[in-house]
Amino acid sequence: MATATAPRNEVYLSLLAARALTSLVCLAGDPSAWNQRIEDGLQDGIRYCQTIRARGRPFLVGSSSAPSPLRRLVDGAPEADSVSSDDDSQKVEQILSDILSKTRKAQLPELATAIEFLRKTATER
Amino acid sequence: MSNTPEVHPSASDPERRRFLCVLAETLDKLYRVDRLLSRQRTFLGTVSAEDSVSGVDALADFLDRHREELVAGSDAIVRFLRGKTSTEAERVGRVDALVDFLDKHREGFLAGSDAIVRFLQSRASNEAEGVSGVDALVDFLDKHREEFLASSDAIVRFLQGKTSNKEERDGIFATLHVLVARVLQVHELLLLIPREAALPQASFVLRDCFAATYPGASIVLTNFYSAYEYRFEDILKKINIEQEERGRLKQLKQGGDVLCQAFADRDNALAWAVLAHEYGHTLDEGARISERIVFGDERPKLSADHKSDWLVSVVAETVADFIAARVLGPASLMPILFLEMMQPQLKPPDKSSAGHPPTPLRVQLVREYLRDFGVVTADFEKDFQAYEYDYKWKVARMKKEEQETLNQLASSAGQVLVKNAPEIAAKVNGLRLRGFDKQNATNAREEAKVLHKTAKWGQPISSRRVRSDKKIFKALRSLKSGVTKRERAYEVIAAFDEMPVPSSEILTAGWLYKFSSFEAELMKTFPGAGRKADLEVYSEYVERTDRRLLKSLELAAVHAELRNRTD
Repeated sequence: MATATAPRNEVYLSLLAARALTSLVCLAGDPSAWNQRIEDGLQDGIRYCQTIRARGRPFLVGSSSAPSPLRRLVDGAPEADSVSSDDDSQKVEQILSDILSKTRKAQLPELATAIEFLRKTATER
Repeated sequence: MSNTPEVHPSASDPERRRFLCVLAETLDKLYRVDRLLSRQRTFLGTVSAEDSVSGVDALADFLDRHREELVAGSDAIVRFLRGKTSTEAERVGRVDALVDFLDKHREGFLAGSDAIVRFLQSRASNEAEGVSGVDALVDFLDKHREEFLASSDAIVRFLQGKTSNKEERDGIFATLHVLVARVLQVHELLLLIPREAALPQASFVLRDCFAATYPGASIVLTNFYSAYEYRFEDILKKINIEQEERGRLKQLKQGGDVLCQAFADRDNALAWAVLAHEYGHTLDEGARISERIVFGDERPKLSADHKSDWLVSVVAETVADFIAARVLGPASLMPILFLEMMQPQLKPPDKSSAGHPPTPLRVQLVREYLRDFGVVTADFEKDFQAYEYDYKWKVARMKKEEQETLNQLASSAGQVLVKNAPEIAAKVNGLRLRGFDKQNATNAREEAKVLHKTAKWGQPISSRRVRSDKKIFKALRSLKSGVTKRERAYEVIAAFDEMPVPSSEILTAGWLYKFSSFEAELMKTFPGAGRKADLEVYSEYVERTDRRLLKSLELAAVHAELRNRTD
């Protein structure tokens, strides 16, 4: 299907998480890999962490078992416990920043932490 | 029959199988949502550059012409208003002229209505951008698809069993889960755009499965992936329709059952097994099976306590599961398992989910129930294992307290259901449904082979001969010219007769075909070796399979109808 001629939003928040994940997958496969795409993805990951922290809770957090789909769509997602604390997003942001600034090489346990954080927060609906 | 490529020694590994299932289901749903949005685009239309007449122009033109016509007859109207019309013919003439006017202009107005829709559509979106709401959804999915494909080298490595570590595999899964979450999100938003109708084949399946007990139920498409059912009468009660009005609508108690299925599964016959489960709830409510199991023959008091409500709910789910399994066999479980595997995480147990026993328990009970009829589930084993792996993986990622709640729920439901399973089974068997048995399972396996062999030319599996070719040839060879009696010859020829294949076999064969072919299709979609991933390859496979199954169900229903005709 063709892409729409003029998108409403240049960047969707979940897309930032997806781009960051793409970079992390590359690094997990080969920790010494480095290219512009990886760099951009890490930048996007940092923006993602900052944005969800600024919002106070992960985007679109809500119970998908809400009884009325219409109410859920119109009223927006109900308030729910944040799936992650600010600490988590700060920690992941730090990991991404360090890898980006090449102050340290990507370590697998850190990558795993960042991957799980992005997966969990970007898939909550 | 298996078309599994040999280059993957870990093909039986539940982790790998789980990845294949989730990847396949995601691409399947992505294609379906894409196609749905594409149809919506066609329906809504777009403002074309050559289209010089706007919707407003069309409306203005329509009113102008109407006004002119009215003014042209104003003298006569004045006479009419003042009671000075000379003849009855003139009075009638005015009315006729108006009718004539409307007739003449109706066509023109309808021609203008397309432009109106296009105009309104463009107004509904941001004019400066020139895109509609549907375009925005398409764009959203396109961007996520592109990002997902950016990891296609890693996906190829996963498919070929060449990932370097667990973190890489988890990362690939996470990218897949982000895509899944967005597809599901867009699917929920589809409620806001014009709704399509369910296909008639879905009703054919239910009619075939439930035969005599099936009075017909409406099937509507919804934005929920999990199907559900409701009675129209219950809705009327909730919106405070007066008692008297409800009395007039008594017939809706049976005919008013509404079964809901996901928008995206409109053409996906394999997913329709969930409708059998939902119709199971209808039968349960009608015969008060779960209520009787919990409360006995006494009707419960209006304010039954919370524990009783929970008991009725978990028993009702099992009744519906057994009913679906009785008519469809193991295929009745598959849409639920694939849907759950596709979800990025397990829903934390809460009040709304408490009425559903945990899925692994449901699977265990259904498999035991089917075993009593000699229906083994070996053909589905790899996918059951993949589901178990997926479930454990997700439970491990839940919060501690959520895990504890889930365990408590599973334990309580397990105690109740294991104890009540024989009674539930007996009640379901007493419904005298057209059961799926060992022979159906054998036939379905053969039909799945036909789907494989004839994949190139898309042959449907709507009918089969009453006797095997071997037996027919043997009987034909026994005919002797001048010796065999005419009756015997006709008897042998009658063996050429074909019977319609039951829907339960078509759906089971469809699932078996999918299990044995989707891995090869995924490998073609992500070929690796420097070749670009092409999601169209998988889309075409899904579309071909849909078409064959829908055609099979349609032809089988027509065939059965013709055989039942007495004229």
